[in-house]
Amino acid sequence: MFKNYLKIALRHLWKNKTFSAINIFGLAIGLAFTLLVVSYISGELKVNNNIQENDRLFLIQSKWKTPDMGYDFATLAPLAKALKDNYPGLIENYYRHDGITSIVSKDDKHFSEELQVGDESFLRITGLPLLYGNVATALGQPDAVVITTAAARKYFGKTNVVGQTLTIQSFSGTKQDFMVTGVMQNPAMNTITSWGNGINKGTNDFFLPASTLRFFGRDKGFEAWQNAFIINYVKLRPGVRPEQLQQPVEQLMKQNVAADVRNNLSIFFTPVKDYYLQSNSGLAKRMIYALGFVALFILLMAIINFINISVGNSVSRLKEIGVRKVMGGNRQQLILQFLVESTVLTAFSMLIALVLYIFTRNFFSTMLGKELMPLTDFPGIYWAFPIILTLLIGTLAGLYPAFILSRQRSVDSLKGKLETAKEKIWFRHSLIGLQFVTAIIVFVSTVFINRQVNFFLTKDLGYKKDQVITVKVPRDWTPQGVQHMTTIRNEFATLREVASASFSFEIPDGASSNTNNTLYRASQDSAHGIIAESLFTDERFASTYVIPMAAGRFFNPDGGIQDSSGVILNETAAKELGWNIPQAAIGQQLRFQGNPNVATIGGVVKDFHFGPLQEAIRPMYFIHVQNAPLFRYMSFKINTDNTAASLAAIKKKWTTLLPDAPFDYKFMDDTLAKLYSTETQIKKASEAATVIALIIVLLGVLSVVTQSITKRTKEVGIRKVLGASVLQILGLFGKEFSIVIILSNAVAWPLSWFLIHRWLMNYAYKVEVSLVPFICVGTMLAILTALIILFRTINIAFSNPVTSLRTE
Amino acid sequence: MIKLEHVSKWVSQGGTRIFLLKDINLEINEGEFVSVMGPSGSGKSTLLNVIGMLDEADEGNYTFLGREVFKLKEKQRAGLYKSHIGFVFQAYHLIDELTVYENIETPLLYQDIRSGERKALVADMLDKFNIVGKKDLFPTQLSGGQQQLVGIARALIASPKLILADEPTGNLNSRQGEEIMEIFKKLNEEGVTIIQVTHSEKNAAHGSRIIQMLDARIES
Repeated sequence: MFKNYLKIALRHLWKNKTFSAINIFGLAIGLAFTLLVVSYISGELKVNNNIQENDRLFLIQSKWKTPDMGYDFATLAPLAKALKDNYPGLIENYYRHDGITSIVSKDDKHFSEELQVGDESFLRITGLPLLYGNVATALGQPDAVVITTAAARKYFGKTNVVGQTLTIQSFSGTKQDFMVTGVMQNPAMNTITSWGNGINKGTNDFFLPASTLRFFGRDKGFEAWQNAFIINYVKLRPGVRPEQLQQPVEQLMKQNVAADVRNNLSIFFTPVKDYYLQSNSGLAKRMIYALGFVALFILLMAIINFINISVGNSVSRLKEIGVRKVMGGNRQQLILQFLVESTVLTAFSMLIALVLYIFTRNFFSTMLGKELMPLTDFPGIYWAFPIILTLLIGTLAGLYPAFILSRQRSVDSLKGKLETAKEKIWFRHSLIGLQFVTAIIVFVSTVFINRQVNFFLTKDLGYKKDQVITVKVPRDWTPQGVQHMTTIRNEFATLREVASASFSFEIPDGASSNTNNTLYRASQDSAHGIIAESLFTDERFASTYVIPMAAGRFFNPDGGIQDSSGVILNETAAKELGWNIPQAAIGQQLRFQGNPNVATIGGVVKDFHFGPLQEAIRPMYFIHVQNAPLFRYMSFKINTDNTAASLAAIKKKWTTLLPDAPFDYKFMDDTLAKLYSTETQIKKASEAATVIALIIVLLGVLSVVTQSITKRTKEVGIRKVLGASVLQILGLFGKEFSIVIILSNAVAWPLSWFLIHRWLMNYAYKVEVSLVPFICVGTMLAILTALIILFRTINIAFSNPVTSLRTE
Repeated sequence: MIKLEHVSKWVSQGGTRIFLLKDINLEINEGEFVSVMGPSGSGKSTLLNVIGMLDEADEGNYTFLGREVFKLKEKQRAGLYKSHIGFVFQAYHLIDELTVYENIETPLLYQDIRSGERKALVADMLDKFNIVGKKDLFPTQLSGGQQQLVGIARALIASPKLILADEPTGNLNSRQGEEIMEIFKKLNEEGVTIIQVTHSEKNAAHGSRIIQMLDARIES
């Protein structure tokens, strides 16, 4: 019996080849997208699963009353250690680390790398396995470094490199050899070796013991309560709840931390297990929800289509149902037959979806910035998902024909009479309407997401990012180092290809040093102060980035010795300090909280976007590097149009001036694009969703139109005999859809407006929500639908009515 | 075998009853070959459908092989006609997606007959109607007469006691129609009761008894 059902199902598919193809393919696209999203979500949920006992391991997080006083993922340097020392009954172990960027060399290979320098408990507390080396002792000796297999391949070309050495530079320019004591299998995504968020995110391949901090000059900071930029983890003893740590934390803060910091700071503990989804104000979670909803709707559309087409087809099966009933088939048997049929059809779709998954996986991985699992890596339990989905959709799609049609009286069925025909048309039209609504919402949203991302990338930032490259320079944070770097800069400036060169601690990528200071007028007290971000630059910074002056001048443009009390403000800072006219600020005196010296305002620059456009421009001030010897980047404004030649010239100069440093340049454009990587991902995902939604909705229209034509062939014949023109016949089919399209737009527009409006609320600078995209999308869908109708109906409209009447 | 007493069937249209069958009293014995005749709309097909239990009457009694049909539950009724009645239609009503073989086999599938036995029965039937060579063809590949042969073979496969045929030759030319009638006659001689609806006097003449209908009543 089952074989018989299967056979007839297949023959039906084959008989209606076009329909079957549309139906199977439409559903397959929806299913493939769903599978990809499910795979993405499961990948996101698995982050940190490779960290052992991740429910007992807690990240100590900070919440600052004044934002920008510190990162939320870092805290007071000695906190975890102090907790363990004072409350060993609660804490089993701890791990803290600093993040350092420095130049790592092996022979003539030099790269700028992120180093994770911290307590030697690292390997034991995370449980990340070593491929080579001894977990217990690897980080126990001074001058040891544990690297990942990726780093080992990069420097040595092989993975078994225990005992080899790497040379690492310190900030004072000295070099030291470090011995590789362990090689770690590249860890799967986790928030301990890939820490931080946004632009501060670092993925680390080098792990050093805290004892090496002395070499980097960071050893004192690692134990100082004043340092709030160290990442701290504590492992609680089994059964200890994080709330039990609040009291100890307060006690320790009271003993060690100044009152103003203490009042500003609250500490909370987040289990490593949950951290990823919560980090970055729940970015991962929001992505999961957004993609999940889109996938759900696309799947819904695909299923609706599938059901719509199945229902349409089933009417032509009415006669067969009648015959089967007369032959003695009972309802249950007929219901089962239809359910088997639609399940077989769904299974086909699922197979195609799996093939699509294989071929589009890489594309989607790149798009989402996350490696999606290959099918072969699916654990057994995952296969339950496509199987359950197949059975579910198969049943849903088979339900209508199974129950409604098998209920018809056999005498009527034989005559092909369907009592509920009227109701059904209405029902199917509302299903199509729902698809239109979804497609319009997805489409319109995509238009605005696109506009917003383009706006980010093209908006006038207040400075010129074009033709600017930045390169990390070796650190020698001494007055001599600044002197040396100034000489090097001047050397570069002599190149014909370089319009201007500048070195600084920051570049306008949104990552400030986060040394926020309270500034106030020298004539007032600190209660009237403002919090401003600092930028440490040389005097060429404004000219390299073409930041115009609102008043005064940018340090001493001639170079040489700079005024040690000189400070430059941006317009916002000047305004907040009470100088509405920038000119009025020139020559005025400022004080920094906690600093006895008075600073003199030498200039005010026009406002520019230092940070991402999600945020409003904040008050900022510039200090010359001579007075704060900190620098990380050299920026070049390239002169000629021949970028490649310019780069080559700079590189040549670089290798003679800085032989030990990698010439690892980045275009400012790319750096900025990275600032908006989340938005770019959303943009790409929404574009993909739009394409899929459009395909599905148009397939839906195509199938409904085709079925409608099949059903109305005789009607068209009669109308033509009675004198209807071709246009009138086309209008007959167009009318059916015009109402659906108008209603769908009426429903979709307010919904999309609401969604877009909410999304744009996240951004300080945003595009206008205008009506034009709504109208365009609505019109475009209408035109596409009209084209499909035209394409399908033109034949029948022109056909000789005699033939269509004869078929009856 | 069949006993109808005061059977009436109607539809309501604008408050008045339009009778499809009016006070039908009819008795048919096993082994008869009855032809029902009458003009279009006189109720022939409705009568056949009621007898075949595809349709219910609004009034009256119907006894089939000693059982009161109208008092049976749907399932019992289906069981009754499944095993005792075979249908032959004017439009053949074969399933287009099934081959000749499979079409004939279908009723057996619904009677839970085992595969081996099914094969034997279908093979017998193909043999009997001389259509072994056509068993793998689809209905659309056959002529009307051949399709009706398959339709009859399908009706007979479960060896019913009664064959109900609604204008079995209506779509056939006269030569094909003659062949079908010959087959019916032979079947009748083998003991199968046959009731056919027909327009043709000549076909009706093959039967042992003629029932004339007019305006929902039996005239004679």
